[in-house]
Amino acid sequence: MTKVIMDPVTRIEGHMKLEVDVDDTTHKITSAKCIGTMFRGFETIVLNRDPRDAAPILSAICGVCHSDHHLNSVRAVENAAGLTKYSSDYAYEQTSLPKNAVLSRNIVLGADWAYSHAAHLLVLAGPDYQLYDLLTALSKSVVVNNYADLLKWVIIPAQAMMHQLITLWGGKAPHQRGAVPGGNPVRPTADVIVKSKELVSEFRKILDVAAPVIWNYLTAKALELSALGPGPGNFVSMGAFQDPTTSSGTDKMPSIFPRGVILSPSTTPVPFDPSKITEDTSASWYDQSSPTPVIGEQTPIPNMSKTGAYTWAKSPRYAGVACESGPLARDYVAGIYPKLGQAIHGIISAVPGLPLNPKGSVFDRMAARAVELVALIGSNNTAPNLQVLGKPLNISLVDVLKLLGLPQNGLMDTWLGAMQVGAPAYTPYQNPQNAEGIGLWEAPRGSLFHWIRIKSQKTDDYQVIAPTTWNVSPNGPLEGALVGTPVGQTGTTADLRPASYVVRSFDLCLACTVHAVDARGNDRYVRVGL
Amino acid sequence: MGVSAVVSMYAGDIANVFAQSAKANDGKVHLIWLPLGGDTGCTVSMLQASNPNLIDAVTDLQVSADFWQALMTPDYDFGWVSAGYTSEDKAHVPLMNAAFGNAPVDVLVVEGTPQIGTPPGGSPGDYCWIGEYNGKPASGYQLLQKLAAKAGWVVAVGQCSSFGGIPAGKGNLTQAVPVTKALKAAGVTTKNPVVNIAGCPAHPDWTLVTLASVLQGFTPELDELGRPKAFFSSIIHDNCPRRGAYDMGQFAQSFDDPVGCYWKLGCKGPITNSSCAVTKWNSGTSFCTQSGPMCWGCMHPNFPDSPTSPFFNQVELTPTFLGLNVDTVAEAAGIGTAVVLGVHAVHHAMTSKKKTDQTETPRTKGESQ
Repeated sequence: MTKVIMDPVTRIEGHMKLEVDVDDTTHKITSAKCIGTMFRGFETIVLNRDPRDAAPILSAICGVCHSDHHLNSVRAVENAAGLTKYSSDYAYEQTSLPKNAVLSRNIVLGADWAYSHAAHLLVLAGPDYQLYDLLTALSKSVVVNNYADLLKWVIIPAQAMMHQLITLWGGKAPHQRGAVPGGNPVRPTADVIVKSKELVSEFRKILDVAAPVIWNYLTAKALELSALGPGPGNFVSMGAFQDPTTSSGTDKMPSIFPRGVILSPSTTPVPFDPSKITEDTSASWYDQSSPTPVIGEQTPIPNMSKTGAYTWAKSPRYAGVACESGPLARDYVAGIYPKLGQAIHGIISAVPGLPLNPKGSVFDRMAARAVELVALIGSNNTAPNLQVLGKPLNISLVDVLKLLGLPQNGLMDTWLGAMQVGAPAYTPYQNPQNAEGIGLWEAPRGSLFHWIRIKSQKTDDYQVIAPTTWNVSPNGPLEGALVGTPVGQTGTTADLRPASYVVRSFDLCLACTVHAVDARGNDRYVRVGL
Repeated sequence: MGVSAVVSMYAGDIANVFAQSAKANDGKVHLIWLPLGGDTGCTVSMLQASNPNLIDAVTDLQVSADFWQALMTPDYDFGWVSAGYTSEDKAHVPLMNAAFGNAPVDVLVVEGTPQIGTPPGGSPGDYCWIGEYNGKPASGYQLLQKLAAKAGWVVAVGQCSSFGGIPAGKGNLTQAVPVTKALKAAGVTTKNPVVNIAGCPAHPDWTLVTLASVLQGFTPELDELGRPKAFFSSIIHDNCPRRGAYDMGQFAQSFDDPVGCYWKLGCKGPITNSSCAVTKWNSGTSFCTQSGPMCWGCMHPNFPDSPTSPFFNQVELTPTFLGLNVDTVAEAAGIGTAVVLGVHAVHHAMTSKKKTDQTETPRTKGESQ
């Protein structure tokens, strides 16, 4: 048995150490430990403050998915104040917020997803895939001779466009702090809408060239990549992008990426129920061991001497089981990804459907992320140049959007078009005296859960479960996905390539994962009111 | 204003600065980007730099980014591969060689808050580990001490490393402190004053201008809190696009008010020193009092504690704050004056050999929990 340590793991957000045991005969990973190595403790910092102050503070849980914690904290507070309510099965939301507020949040967070997915596919994961041979493909239209050129002329400008879009609606990026309980700051003007549409359109031009290249590269390696990194087969999605444009308006808004859970061996989503979430800390550096419902949880304090503990990450569980979270999980729950699979199966019968691996895989995670990018931004590319397994599908990006029932101009442009120019984006808000509220959202990396308890108009308790916490938790999806992964014996960077594929397919964010401990009611620590 | 006049005016100078600095040693400026208790937001912010952009700064200008966890890959080299990151299990090599070995460190950039506390059952600094040295985890605090002692310049990029920021907010458990305070606690002295680029996140254009300045060997003019005066001398309120509304007593009643001044809703522009209103953000697109609900005070030394919070409470416009009389400034026909001063300061920093006397003023927050 050989132990391999990757510490720090690079091109993820934050601090993670990976320890794997490799069998000396089979050269495959037999066990893996993901170790979150940095702890800050956000949930104590928001205590005893004005509930509205939680959002601008929790925003800094993550600077990569930098709009999501801010928004979801606002959503939790609005839920506590009764401005926004969930239906009993959590499938719909009713809100007193103006339609413009809902739409501008969708736009800001859509831009956040688009930038984040592009950054993951190209900057974080891209180098593992030789940048999908983009240098060759793009050299026809721009001067790109090397990675620096690609960054300078394509990747950095593209992600900057999405940040500029966020800035138009939230003030700056990263860390726009635009949303406040009650709504958003920008009453839409034609000027801002046109500028925003231009940014989406410019981004779309780049995506129309890059997306088929990335898709064809990944699908050419689909057999290899779909065998790597199977998850637990359980998937969770907490829902994103509420739709106020149906005939019910803001009274009954479905999530465009719906809430739901798929629990193996079933492949059918069932309604999401936040009361089924627990957190287990038996293998984490906290002085508590038994699983606790996250709602009302008084999380333990740090204890690095606990036997069997090896990480700052906790283990969230749904109905007692580990779940994968991320683009694959929510596109699976939403039915978008299986629908694409059926269409592909109809063209190339050798492809059974999507996900290619029912438990998820490196391929499925990467492909789902790419599909989301196109769904948000739309496409003008009608060239039937998409392939699978190196064989032509004879369909275009535009065809894919039609197959999925998505607008050709993309969700972002659709939301911009639905804005009511000059109409309010804010409705008055008052802190409730005593209340509890839940924020449910999907960050680029997966499901985001915020829960607040307000007492005497102050934050009395706060819990966050971040996307990567689901994925890197002890005995969670990533540790399991690494088992069976081959490790090369050539002495080159290729040896750890399969493991890299698996690790980065989850698009990890460790700062989000280890954000928190709650010392509520614990007199060992000073609690300072303001 | 489009792209900041301050920044664009000196874009050419920056190129020269980097090139000259590179000639000083092996043709490269060796940079370590140390991630402590932060959220990588400042790295993402650097990707938004527009003039020059980050790749111009790194490639054309001969920077060897020997360690930058969020961006480095063994397949493409911006310095990290030549510094020893040749496979996925060797990411720690450039960092450890710089901290404990003989590898040169011209500039140490610190992103995130040093956490100097001891977790129950652990050792000092155990709230943050980055890699192993001699078979043991190296703490962020230990690495900071080693690297800061040998670095030509230590630049604290962002609110966390400059002033402690959100991880050092009241209620924190980890004894999160500013870089200056962490170094003082450890008895480490630096070759030059620590430069603090405040902000959550740090403004990318201001950061690159400042880095260019220090790389050339000039001390940028720093204020009493270690911030480059060029970017932190003026108060946001003075240059706010809603300032006219304030002067006329037109105050916003709601957060989506298109024109009214946000002061009474809690805006921290009147107490926050920064050039946000001048350069704006994201290639001059907008900023927080233009397209946001207010200034949150994210560059104020005490952010996120009083007086920046409670965020939704109106701040007192006291007669003097941070040495500046808000009311007097308001009365003066001074809009634009601060901009000119800022430009002058940058020019001064980059063309004069004169070093300023600079006494670091350590922050006092975040030490007792």
